[in-house]
Amino acid sequence: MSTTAIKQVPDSGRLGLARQARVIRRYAPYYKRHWVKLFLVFLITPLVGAVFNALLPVLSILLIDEVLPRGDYLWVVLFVTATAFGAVLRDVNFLLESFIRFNLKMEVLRDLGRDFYTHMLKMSMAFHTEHPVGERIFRTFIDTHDAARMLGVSLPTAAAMVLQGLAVTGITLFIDWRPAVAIALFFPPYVALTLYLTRLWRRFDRAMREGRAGVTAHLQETYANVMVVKAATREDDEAKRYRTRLRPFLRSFYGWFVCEGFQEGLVHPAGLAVIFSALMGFMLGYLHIQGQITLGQWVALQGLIAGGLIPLATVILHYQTLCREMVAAERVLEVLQRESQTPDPAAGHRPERLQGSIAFDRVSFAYGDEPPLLKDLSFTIKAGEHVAFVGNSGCGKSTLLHLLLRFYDPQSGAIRIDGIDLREYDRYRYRRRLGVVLQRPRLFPGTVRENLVHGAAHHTPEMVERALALADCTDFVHQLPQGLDTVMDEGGNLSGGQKQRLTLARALARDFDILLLDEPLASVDVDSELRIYEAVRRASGARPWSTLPTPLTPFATWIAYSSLMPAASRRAEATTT
Amino acid sequence: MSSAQVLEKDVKDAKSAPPLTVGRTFQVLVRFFPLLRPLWPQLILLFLVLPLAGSVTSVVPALCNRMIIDVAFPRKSVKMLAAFGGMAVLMMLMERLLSVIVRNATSAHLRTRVIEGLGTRFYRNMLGLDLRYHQSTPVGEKIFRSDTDIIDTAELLGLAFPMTVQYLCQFLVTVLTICLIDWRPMAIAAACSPVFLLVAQQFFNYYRKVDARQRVEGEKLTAQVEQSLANVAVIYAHGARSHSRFQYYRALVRYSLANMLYWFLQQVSIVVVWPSGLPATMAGYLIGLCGYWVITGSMTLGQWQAIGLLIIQAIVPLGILLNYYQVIRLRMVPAERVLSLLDSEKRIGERPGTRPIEAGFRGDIEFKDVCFAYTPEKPVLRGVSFSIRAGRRVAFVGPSGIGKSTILNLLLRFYEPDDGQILVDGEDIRSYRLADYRRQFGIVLQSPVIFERTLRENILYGAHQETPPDLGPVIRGTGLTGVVAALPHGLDTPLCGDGSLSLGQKQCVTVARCMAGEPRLVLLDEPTSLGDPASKQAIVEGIDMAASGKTTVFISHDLLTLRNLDEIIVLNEGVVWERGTHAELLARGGLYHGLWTMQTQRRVDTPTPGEPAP
Repeated sequence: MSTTAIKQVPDSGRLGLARQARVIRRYAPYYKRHWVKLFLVFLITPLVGAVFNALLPVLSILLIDEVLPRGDYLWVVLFVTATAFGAVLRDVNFLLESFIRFNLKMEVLRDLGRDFYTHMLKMSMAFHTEHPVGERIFRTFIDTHDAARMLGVSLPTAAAMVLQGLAVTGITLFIDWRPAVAIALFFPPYVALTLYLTRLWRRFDRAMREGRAGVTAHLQETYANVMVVKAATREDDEAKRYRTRLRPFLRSFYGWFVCEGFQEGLVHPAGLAVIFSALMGFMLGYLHIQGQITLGQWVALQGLIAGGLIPLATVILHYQTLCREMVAAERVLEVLQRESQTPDPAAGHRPERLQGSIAFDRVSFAYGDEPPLLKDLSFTIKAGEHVAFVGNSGCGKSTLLHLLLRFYDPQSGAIRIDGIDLREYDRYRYRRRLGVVLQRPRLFPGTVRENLVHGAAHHTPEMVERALALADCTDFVHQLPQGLDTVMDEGGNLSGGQKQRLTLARALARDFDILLLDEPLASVDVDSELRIYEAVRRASGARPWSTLPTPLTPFATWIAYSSLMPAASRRAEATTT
Repeated sequence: MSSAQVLEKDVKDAKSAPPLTVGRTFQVLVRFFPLLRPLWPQLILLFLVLPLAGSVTSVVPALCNRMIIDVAFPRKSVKMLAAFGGMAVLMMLMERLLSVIVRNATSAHLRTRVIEGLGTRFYRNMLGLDLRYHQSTPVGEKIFRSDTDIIDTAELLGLAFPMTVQYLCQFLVTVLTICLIDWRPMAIAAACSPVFLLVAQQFFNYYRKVDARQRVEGEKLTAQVEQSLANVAVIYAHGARSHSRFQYYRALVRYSLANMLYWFLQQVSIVVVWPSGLPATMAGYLIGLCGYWVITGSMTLGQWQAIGLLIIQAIVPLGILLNYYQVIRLRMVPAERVLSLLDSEKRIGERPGTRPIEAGFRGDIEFKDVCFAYTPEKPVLRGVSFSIRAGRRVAFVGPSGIGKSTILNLLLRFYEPDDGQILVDGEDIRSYRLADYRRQFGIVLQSPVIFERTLRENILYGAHQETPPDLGPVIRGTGLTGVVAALPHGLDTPLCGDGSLSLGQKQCVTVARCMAGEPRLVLLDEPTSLGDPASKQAIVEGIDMAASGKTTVFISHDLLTLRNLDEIIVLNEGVVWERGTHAELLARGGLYHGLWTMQTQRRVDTPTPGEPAP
């Protein structure tokens, strides 16, 4: 099992402001568009919140010390109303702030999700074959989500907390400077503990994500191939295997929650900060017994110490959350920063139509580190020629097709379409000019119609019907309960041959210039195969097209037996060298 | 059922989920109890020891504070100050240690055990469900159920329930302590609380709906990503990137909207029902009122201080309780979903009185009037009868979609016939132990399935012998010698994704898998259709070796490969149309004759060359 091979930033769990700044800078483009919201959540709402949070205690102190002794009820009512009003405003500000934050998160998630997904689809096929589907799903779905939350929610929250913490602590110290001593004593060891815990926690967080991706990958593989699992009666072994794959995930899961326990128990403001405030309070009780401070002053000092410590502890708490979520942000960057092995040209060639001539010029290719599959392969196919490739299994016939589709780029040599290097083309524009049937019939869950027009920009009902007729699908499609709008499930309602005919219809429904067929009729029964062949041959007269069917399917056989037989066999020899 | 329909159903499930009642909660607990029983030390700790210890440690500091003000200060006793102060700080530390750190660790441990035990059982059950379920359920949804639902259920059992008990206990002990100091504040609080509870209830009803919706959107998004990433080659080949991106983006936007509302409501709940919100304001007034009693002299200053602290302390668990009430209510949905799948009837299970298969198993097959339909409106088999004697090699032929693969599915007991009987060795196949029965088969499917494991594990996938068979002959027999030699670590090379082997080579591996399993019956579903001539030859030779002397059922379109078989059964219109040897069927001049003529004619005649287009 080749697991998570995406190159990972070596992670000791160590934090660094520089590293965080780097990560955030990489995400800056996602912020730019939303500068109004940023302005609001990073500056305005935190300031308003800080003012209210600091003002409300001041109002109550004034109420107790100044207004109550006067005994003027009008003033009391005025003060109480002002306090209540202030509290309501504070809450409204908080809700507004939350709303903007989540809105920001949502916008960032959309942009980031789209970019991430686009980037995934831009990677060469090597990327996709290297990583199990489950892992790619996890990164696409959960990691981007967490990264967006960090950008939209955690970062502004942390910023707001810094502002509010400083304001509240500042006002507390303005009223009485003495709690500053307690703060100075408390914070250095507290921060050290927090940072240590955060480091540990981050390590578990990353391990947990990787573990869960592994578990998902296992689920994906066995659920997708459940028929084979059942036929081999491997259910119990798969369950055992699943259990062993759960273990590393569960170990980090446990570690994660133990860290959370220490976090909630000690680092959280309700933990050490409160206990330390109480301890200082009791120690100050000694001053009261000594007669140095009054009981009222003692009560006030207790409150003030807590008021100075707790907001600062909250700041640290939020900083910590931020650090943890940065794991996801970094995982997203790992993919986004990975260059595609088949890069796009700056301004790709965007032909309206292709002539359809294909030339391989000393092309060499190997998958990854494996021995080379194609060595200095050269041949040309003129526009309109029908060519078959034959050869032993594993000699690289399907690979030729993958290279023509630009799933991969050759390591050396060049492939030219209409005399222009394939790498010069705008990849998507080029691919849209192809009709393709890949080796295994693959259809998407959805209706028959959705599958037929998958990816085709322009299509008319006539084109769809014509393609159905060409691929001999008309009869069975119209027998389906809802015809073209029948929903196909993951395997049940169509036979293998019918699915394959549909993939052929899908290729023919497009307005293509080059037709690439990889065993297009392998599991189609004899009579419909014959009809399809006749139909496609008739259709071929209408416009120029090159076919490149690979091995000797009956369909390909015919082409090989026909006028191109010598050429085809010569090329086959070239291929197998 | 399409994925969309399944998801719609889920929304309805979540919406129509009955409100949380004690009976329902109890039922779920009882159902999960067998799973939890071995974990009794953790359960005692979580449900009994920690709540009690946590409650006591949480009220002591406030009482100490009262003693300092009422007793230590008037007497100017530094000793008493130190004693009470020390006691308070110690208790606060203990409270954090027990109610948070130890509780979290115990709960996490319990949850890991639940995820491991329940998750494995759930997964095993999923694999045991019949193919009808698997083929109508998108893989993404199954992953979501096995992954997120299980973790949520573990959260319900290992976190939400213990937390509820703990905070309920803490709340009751705190209220009791306040009443012991002075009953009046509690009487006022009790009078006010119904209004608050009503507001909270209404709020959370809405919250729950929003949560259900954002989960459903999440499932849809996962399913969308799953299907497109699994079929990424098709998307690439069609240049359909923008189309796929649009679909993804649409799902993402819908999810993010639902998710935003959900998180926003959570914030609203912080202001409204959480301790910092409405309850805290109410408590503030209550404490202020108590201040009046201090001035009038019916309460001491120490009592006032203690009550002030304790009221805040009572409100914190109240808020948490309300929250956990909702967590339980929400997590009940996945928990019950897990339970319903665990006792799903859809599983083709063992019947009582099934028997193991003994050594003398021969492999005679008989179908008696078998009828079968995947969906009621479209019958596939309408009374198929035939028998195949052990050791014979028989092919099924007929137009595509006629039910040839269905016969294999029924024979493997992936589905049960709607009517009629399938006998193997004269016994109904349902009377055999399922695992024993399926192990008698070796299968090769049209499209080879290779797992992301080593080549050896892939070949031995179907082998259940005590000692693994010698792979040497298997490798040679399937022409894989060259492939093994070319792989960097030979048989122990991990195969991954689509890259390392060609399709023909992969098929050879599945033939090797079939051979290594030493089956009595061999089922072949178009095994050679995707191979090229050379690998086809290897596959055919491998199959000949694997199937020699065994009952073999063959499905193929290529009639040429079927000529030498013992019998050919032609299916049409849901029944056995014709049967006989190749020669007999040709002589009869029926459907088979027509198919044969069409295929051979085409091969013999040289078709007109396709003229290059103008």
